Amino acid sequence: MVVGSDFVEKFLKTAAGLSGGTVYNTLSFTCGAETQTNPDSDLGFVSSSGTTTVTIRHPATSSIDYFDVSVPLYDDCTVELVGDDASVGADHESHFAGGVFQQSIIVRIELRT
Amino acid sequence: MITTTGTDILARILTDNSSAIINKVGLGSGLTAEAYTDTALATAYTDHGFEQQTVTATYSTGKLTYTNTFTNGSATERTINEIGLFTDGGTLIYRHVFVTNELSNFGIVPPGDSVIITIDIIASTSTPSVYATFSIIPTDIGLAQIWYYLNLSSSISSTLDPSDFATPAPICYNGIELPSAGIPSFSEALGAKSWNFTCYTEDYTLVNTILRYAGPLTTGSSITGKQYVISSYRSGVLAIKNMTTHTHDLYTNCYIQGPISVEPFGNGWWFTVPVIQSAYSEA
Repeated sequence: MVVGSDFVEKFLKTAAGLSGGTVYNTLSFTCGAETQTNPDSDLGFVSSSGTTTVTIRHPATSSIDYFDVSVPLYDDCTVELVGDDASVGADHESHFAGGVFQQSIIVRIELRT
Repeated sequence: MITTTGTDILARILTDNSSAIINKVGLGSGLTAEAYTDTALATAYTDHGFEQQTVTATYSTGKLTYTNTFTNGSATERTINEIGLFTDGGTLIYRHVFVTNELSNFGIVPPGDSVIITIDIIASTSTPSVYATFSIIPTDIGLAQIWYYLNLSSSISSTLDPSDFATPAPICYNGIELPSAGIPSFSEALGAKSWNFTCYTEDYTLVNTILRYAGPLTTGSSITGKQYVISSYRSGVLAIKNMTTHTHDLYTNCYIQGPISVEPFGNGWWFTVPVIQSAYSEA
């Protein structure tokens, strides 16, 4: 798992109203050669301009799909973006072990002071 | 500290749930201890150059820096005890209450003089501490949860340099006139000087203004023979007008030794102000 190097920069620039900022309202989703014992995929935050900023990297990656998150949720200081693979193509679904047809992904960023 | 409301609005900004931007800095004189639940400065200045100022941040590697110069445009001294960082809509993001001696000159800004305030908001990420992989139960609803932590911290620095203060009289300490001062004694140690000024004024307010700088101190010679001063107060700047150049010579790292005895004399008060310079800058 890696955190994109520009994530903090884009976030802080947005907070300060500087050019180069972005908001995070999309999850990226990539399916590679997952196996039943290691079924995770690449996923993470994507900026509104489509730049991947947080990525969980699987060694075997293929293409990247994006699907919008309906409404970002937050509870206190926890940002919660929820995606559902219902909007992901069937090809990708086939990569999930055992034919999982509905896949929820929650990525939280907790702001700590 | 970054306030709870500040953290909340940062989360909203992050997720496009707020159009606020953080771009205002304000000063205050309140001493109420800072708390995460703060939503405003305790006693905010609202005029004469100390009101909230719009400040454009600069960005460098994980850090936003807000720097602004505040000039005291009022006719009286103003003391800075607290500072806040706000959104354009006035939401308090960050508040700091200065501790004793954190600012030079007790945080007092004389009329017409300035203070430079710099606030850094720093963010860094760290590896998630919890990571649940996809469910692999056939036909079940899979769930993956990943936690990232965005660590926010802050720092503050200031420039309130008495060397920059106006010197309205021939002899001043931190911009404050030593009234009718004469110099009955002067001595010079290695790397530093000492003065005794006899003063007279009919305005006891001025006496009190000088007395606030007077405190107990210890002097001595370092291993290299230079004069040092130990004091719980911040050092000040003595300004003596040079009658040849008609400008003030500045002597930094100076301290006023107390207690000072003030005696009634004629229609006013007579007192002696010992000023001792250290060869070393304050730690």
